Amino acid sequence: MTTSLLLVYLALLIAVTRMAPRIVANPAVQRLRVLFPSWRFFDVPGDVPQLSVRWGRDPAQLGTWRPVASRPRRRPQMLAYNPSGNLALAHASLLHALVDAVETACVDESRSPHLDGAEQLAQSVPYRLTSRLAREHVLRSAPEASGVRFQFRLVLAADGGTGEHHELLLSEVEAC
Amino acid sequence: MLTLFSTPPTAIEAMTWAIAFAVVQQTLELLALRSAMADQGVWAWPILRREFAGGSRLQQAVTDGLLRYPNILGVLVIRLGAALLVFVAPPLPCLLIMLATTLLISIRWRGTFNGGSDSMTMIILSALTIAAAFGDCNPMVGLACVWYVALAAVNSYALAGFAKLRESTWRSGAALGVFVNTSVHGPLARGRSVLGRRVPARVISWVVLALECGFPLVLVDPAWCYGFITLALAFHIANAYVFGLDRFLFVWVATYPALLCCSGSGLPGAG
Repeated sequence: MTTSLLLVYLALLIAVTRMAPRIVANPAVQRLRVLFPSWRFFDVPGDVPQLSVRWGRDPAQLGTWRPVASRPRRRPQMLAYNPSGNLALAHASLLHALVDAVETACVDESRSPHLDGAEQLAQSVPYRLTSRLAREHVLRSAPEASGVRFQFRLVLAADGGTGEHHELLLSEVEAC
Repeated sequence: MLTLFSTPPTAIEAMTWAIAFAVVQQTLELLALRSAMADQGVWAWPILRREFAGGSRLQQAVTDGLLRYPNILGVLVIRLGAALLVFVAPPLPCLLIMLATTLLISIRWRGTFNGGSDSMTMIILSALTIAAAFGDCNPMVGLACVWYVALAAVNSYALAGFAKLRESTWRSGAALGVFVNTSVHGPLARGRSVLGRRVPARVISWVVLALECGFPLVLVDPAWCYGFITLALAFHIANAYVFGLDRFLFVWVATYPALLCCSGSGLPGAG
């Protein structure tokens, strides 16, 4: 490759990096986003969404909040085969999708006050999947889960989890 | 100097085998996670299918038929079979099946299951499918496909590097410690003490920045290419252990024959 071509290529790469990433909200594009990679891996230690859940038989006394975070142990074989680690990564992506859904619901409600943002959010796929994730944690943790009710919350921890925490979402109390 | 994969056909053959191996690994992992995709699991199709509610009846019938549980396991088994058969059968049908099933699985997981590794798998499979379909008729097609994969690989490292370089937290070394401590596998046992100290954290961060930002140099000279891909291999092994990104290791290795083929050869048509 000639030097000039390489320099042009480098300039193009730097220009692309300086452009702000565009988020396309179109659902069809979202489902096909495997075709549109961004390659900006681990660039900014942004807000980290953290899911926690509490449960009990009495909806008024649901116990203490417990984090829903499976942290699979590191093992040498996970260099080649790591299903539990990859599932944990998929769950982390799901929580980011829930953050987006919360923000979309808030924006939609502020633009059109007749829309019920909370209802819209509760029907969204990221919310329903996260509810399943919280429920799965309860079922795993509480051997006698029949009649148990649970509630989950999403907290955003700033600066990659080291900064301020603020509650973004508190779910309704649901049956297991 | 010994030059591996110096011609497009040898690079294409090596990439085909490497990506088939990566697809086998990915599929075995997904089969191990089948309970998560069941109707009682977290990633249940009755919930996910709501996102397809606006589509035509035909689209809904197709997605329901292919993506619901347990049919999705059939898609995975077909994908596994195609990846294994590529070692002994004509590559084109196997590559087409791997390409289609990779797209289906990504859609089933709301866009991607494992982010960038799924995207790079699609890029490699698309290029190899086109090379297998048209490469025999026109050798330029094979060459173009190899360059496409090589540039995608270079872009992936360089764009990630330049994006990091703009961040003061990366330049100071602070970002690396934050990312490691929030890994899905938890902080490293000794990582807190090493990455908590300013000098080692900054040195490791700058090694990562130099590797990623300098990666376009692989195209200049084969010696540089061997050096960079050796470092990149160590980088991916570390990422697999620290962050659980094992899929990136195998998928990115599948791009290396393209890098070795294009390194120092000059752009097709360039003087």
